[in-house]
Amino acid sequence: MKTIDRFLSMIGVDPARRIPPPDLLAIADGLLVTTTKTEAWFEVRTSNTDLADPDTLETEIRQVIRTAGKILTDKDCHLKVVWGTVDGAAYAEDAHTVFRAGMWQEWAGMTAARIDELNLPDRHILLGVELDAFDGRVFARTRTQTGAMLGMEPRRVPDGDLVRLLGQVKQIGRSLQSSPLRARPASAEVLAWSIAREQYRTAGAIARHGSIQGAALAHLTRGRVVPFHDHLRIHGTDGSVAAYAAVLALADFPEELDVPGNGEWLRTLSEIVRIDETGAELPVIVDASVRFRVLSRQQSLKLAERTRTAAKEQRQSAAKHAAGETSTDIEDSEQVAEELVSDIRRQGLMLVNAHPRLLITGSSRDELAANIDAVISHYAGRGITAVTCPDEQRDLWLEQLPGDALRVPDLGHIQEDIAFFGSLFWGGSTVGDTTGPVRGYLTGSTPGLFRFSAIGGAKRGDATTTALLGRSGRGKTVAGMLLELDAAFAGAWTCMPDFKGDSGGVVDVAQQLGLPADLIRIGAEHAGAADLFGSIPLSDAPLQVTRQLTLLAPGNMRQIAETACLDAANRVAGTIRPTTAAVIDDLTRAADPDTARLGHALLNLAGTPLGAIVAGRPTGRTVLRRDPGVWNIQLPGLVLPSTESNPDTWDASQRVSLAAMRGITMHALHVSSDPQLRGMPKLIFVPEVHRMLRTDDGRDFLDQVARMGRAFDASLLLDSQDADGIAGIEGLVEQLSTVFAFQMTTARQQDALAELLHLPIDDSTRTLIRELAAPTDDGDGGEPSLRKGHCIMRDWRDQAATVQFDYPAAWVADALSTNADRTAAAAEERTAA
Amino acid sequence: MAIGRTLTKQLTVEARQHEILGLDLGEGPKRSTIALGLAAVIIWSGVCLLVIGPPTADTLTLYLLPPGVALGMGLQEDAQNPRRTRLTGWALRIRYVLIGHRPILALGTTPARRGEMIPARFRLVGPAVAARLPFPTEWFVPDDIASIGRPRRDRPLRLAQTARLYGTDHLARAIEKKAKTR
Repeated sequence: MKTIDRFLSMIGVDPARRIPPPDLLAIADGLLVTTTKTEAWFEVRTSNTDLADPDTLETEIRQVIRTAGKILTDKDCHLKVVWGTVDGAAYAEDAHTVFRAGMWQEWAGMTAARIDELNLPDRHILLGVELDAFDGRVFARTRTQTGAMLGMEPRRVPDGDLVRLLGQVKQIGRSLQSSPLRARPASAEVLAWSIAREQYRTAGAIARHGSIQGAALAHLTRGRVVPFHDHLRIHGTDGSVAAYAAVLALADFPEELDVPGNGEWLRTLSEIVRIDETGAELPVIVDASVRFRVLSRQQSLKLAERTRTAAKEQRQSAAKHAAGETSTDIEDSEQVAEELVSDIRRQGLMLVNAHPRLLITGSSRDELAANIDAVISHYAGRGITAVTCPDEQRDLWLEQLPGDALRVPDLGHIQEDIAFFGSLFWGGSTVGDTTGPVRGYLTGSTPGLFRFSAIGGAKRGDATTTALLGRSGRGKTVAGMLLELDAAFAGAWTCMPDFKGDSGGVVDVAQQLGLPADLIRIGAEHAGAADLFGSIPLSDAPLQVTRQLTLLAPGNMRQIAETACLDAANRVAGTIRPTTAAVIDDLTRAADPDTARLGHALLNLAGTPLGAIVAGRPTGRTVLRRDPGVWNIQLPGLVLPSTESNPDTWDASQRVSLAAMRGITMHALHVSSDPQLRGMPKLIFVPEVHRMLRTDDGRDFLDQVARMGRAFDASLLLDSQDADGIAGIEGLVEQLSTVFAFQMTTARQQDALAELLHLPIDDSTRTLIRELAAPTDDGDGGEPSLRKGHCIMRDWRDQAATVQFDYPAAWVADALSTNADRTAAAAEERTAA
Repeated sequence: MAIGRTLTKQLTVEARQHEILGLDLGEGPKRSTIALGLAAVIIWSGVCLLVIGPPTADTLTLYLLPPGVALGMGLQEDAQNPRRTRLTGWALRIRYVLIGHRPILALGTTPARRGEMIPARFRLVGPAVAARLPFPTEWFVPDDIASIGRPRRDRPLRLAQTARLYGTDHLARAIEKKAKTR
């Protein structure tokens, strides 16, 4: 029999193909026991590698190799990359932990429906490691026969064995968790889902922890798989064909694999697409199963030495005979083996024996064939040969099941450690919070949702400022409004000084969904409401009021304004109720005619509706309410200077507008410090921040805004088109917890964005930033449209990835639109109402 | 940029035999080819011996030619898989027809019944072969074969296998018990 087996394995029909399918005995957290083997299973977390620079990437891979060298050597391992779907229902169920105000169920429900509509695949990376402490064969034989006769439960794993095995799982898990793989023992639910998924090919989502019932467990192994010549048919519970599947083998790799580059052959699984009949790109969902063994130093050396000896023997034998010289292949083998021996001894290089397979499915034969073609083309583009494996689909399908073994060993590869782990099976994109509101989806190499709460920083005791930076019309303001709504549904007090007059939509949405909300229009009755003497600490006030009045001063008086105003402000600060109006009064009473003229000029400006807000005599009436909700402020008649204009050429209306803008921002911050709001999450969304940066003291002002936000425990959302300006304010940059970078087109702004995102300042980052919001073709032959809301997010963990802001529903998108026509129509509706 | 190498080809030395019984074979055939050739000749000779008796000058060709031709063709590279020879493809085909087609029901714990198997005529002639046949092949590879593999509902499935799920509560108790006994 052994001779026949050797003969068969020589022609590629290995006896391992004969072993029976895995007979499952037990599943526990991190543990899978069959009658023939025991495996520890871990779930590997996605690492953010999409935007990593090559050096960081290599460092990470080397760390993983070191971990593998420590705990995985000479163990049979099984890597599985499988896909579920992101489940909207799970989000709706957990929403009560995130939201509590207004009709939050409706808000979460809309998001949940949108998640289902997006139908995003959810990648799971599972790593199985064979354990050798439990001999299932002995167990099964003795227990099932003698135990059954004695009425014992024949298939029960003894508690003592379970505890011992769990100890081994923990031991391996500790090392894996501290590596960049951040692997944790896979929960029983994940393992059960993974087994059932292979049986039925129904992707679905993983059951929640602790929710597997008897029926679901019994369901695990009842599948029906029929192997045809070149594919498999997987039947559903009703007997009909649920899916058509095929297992492909990666039969040939290029001799050299580059990372980053074609070496990332497992990370790029999610990048495979096919073109359908209409010309639209459809994602192809491909599972991967790689059985591998990291060879220890001794085993690696043994293999290299054996090859060297065999090659040498061939060379010498050829020299003695008519052949004279051996073939170049043999010469190459001898040389490579010699180098390997040296590398293994000196550099600790390890070899990995890997058997990669890809499992492709389709809802029909035609779809399966199209998917297979797409996969073969995708890998061919990287120099990797993926082959269909006719007549052995049964063996290959069984081989990729957890608990099974290597059945087709002749299609394996021996790779250097960097070539195997450079596949970056754990790589991809991940960014944002792990809990909290879902605000969009990832657009990197691993699909998924991104969660973010603009009020999360205060809860963590971290910096509280979030910046939305990018060109005009790329979706910054709408993104900010969505974040404001999320915060309001979480029970926060939110405020947005609306300098452009297009924030009515957010108030409408909030009101429709039961949140207290109002669009407050500031008028004469609010005179003095934004007086800086009332908004900032008295110690800082004279200087800030001076800046405010210097900004208001006409151009020809600016020379004397600073000195005169500061002198007056200091005097007024010592009075019982200091106000900016009192400073102007003081100036008008000055003996110096120029100072008095300045005072009169400022008095005139303070008489205008906008000027009254910052420098008028206070009426004592507050602008903002102090209960949770959405309180947006509109300033009618605001004429903001353009971003490019020179401050010296600004007219009175522009100067007053900018002063009002500063005053209102500070006023909102001041209200947020109210004792009534203490203990309540607060969010202030300040749009058009770049306009504040146009003046010399604008940077100091913004710096102060950020520091006050932190001091008052109020979260800030800053929206600006000037990343370079923001990057230049060191104090503000230190306060930035999260950055959303939208498209920028000039190199200076792109470099500033790269600096804020902590990405390398080079051409690749510039290209990445330039291509954000690149026009997309809707596939209907219409005009390509800008991809608004597409940006790079850098979160508080310093992870950066590309994301797309998304609306919970179409009507919300319509209501929040800042499109001029839509804003005008909404304003008319509001007036009529 | 990191570069990793795939060394499958370099570390798989196909040893050649340069000499047999003092006879110089020049470049020499691969040793695996010699082993396969010997096996093929022995098996084929056994069959011939049973059917036509010991080899004679007239029948020697019949003894040597078929295994020689089969080996010559079989050792050529498989068109679909560069890692394999045609011989492997033939062996796998035979294996598929005999056992490789068996449905996997309940992870192999339930044998498939007759009506649930892929009929022999479909197994024998795969789509690739059928496409080359000079006559209509619907009978071999019909368009509608959706019914193949459907479960038969006349008898209930008998399952021996039961997986057991150990929840965290059970594991915690087991760990606690173990700790107490120490």
